[in-house]
Amino acid sequence: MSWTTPKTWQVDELLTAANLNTHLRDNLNALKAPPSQAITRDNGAAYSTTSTDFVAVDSTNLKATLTTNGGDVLVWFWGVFHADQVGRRVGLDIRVDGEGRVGADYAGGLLNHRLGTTIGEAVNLGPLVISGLSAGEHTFELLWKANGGTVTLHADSGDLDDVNEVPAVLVAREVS
Amino acid sequence: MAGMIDLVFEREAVNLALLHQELAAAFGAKLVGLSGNGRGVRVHLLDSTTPDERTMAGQIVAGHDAGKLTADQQAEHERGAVLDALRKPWAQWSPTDKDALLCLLAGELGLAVS
Repeated sequence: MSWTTPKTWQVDELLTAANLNTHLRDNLNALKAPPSQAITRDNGAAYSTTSTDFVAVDSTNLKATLTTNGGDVLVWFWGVFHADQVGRRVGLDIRVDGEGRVGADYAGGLLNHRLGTTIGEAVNLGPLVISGLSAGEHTFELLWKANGGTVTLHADSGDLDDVNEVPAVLVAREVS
Repeated sequence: MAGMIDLVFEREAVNLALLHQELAAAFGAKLVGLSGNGRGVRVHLLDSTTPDERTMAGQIVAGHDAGKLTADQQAEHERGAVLDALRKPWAQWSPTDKDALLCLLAGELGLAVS
């Protein structure tokens, strides 16, 4: 249900069913169920990277797509990571509409986390408000990089180790 | 990202760290890194690479032996084997076992050991 900018009512204006349905019912429905996508990714295997520049984790399956009414979108991600050595760092960022990254002013990304052990470690990015988007379709894609070695993101319902048997979760939801 | 291309190859078995070393030896700073998802590998190269270099990247991926280990992985494998051998009651520890543990601990502390 899409949002319609509420009309300005005039004194003595006739209330019509069409206007009430459009400006009250439909807008309340739109507020109740805003454009939203929650991805709980089971990749059947872990993701891994050695990339020292930001790249998509999975440009097909860890990319949320919303058709928004224009305004702000809240994006957040969480997942369980490990590295091949203690002290590796994973940088995380979000790419909107296939261009650049939200944290472009920061070489480390929106978040840069030191992985303290080779055992899986939960990392949370966001919630992050992405402002000023026009009405229409928008994509929100998870990016990552390592500062060296190999960084791994678990996303496997069949992982041999229960503690690593977790999804990678990416959520986007229009909030204004 | 800008200035980078991705070459995508389908192959399940990849030792990402080893393949990274193999590609880095060929491409140096033109290699940005690799990403894997269990079914394939993406090679991230600077877009200044030539078509011949991209072909060479494919050949290196095709010739990659995922059963081999990097030097670091081999060292970690050997360290794990030493620790496994020490998982037994203290009464069964020999002087050689104790030396092996001391050697590992010295390495962890950053002391020079041969």
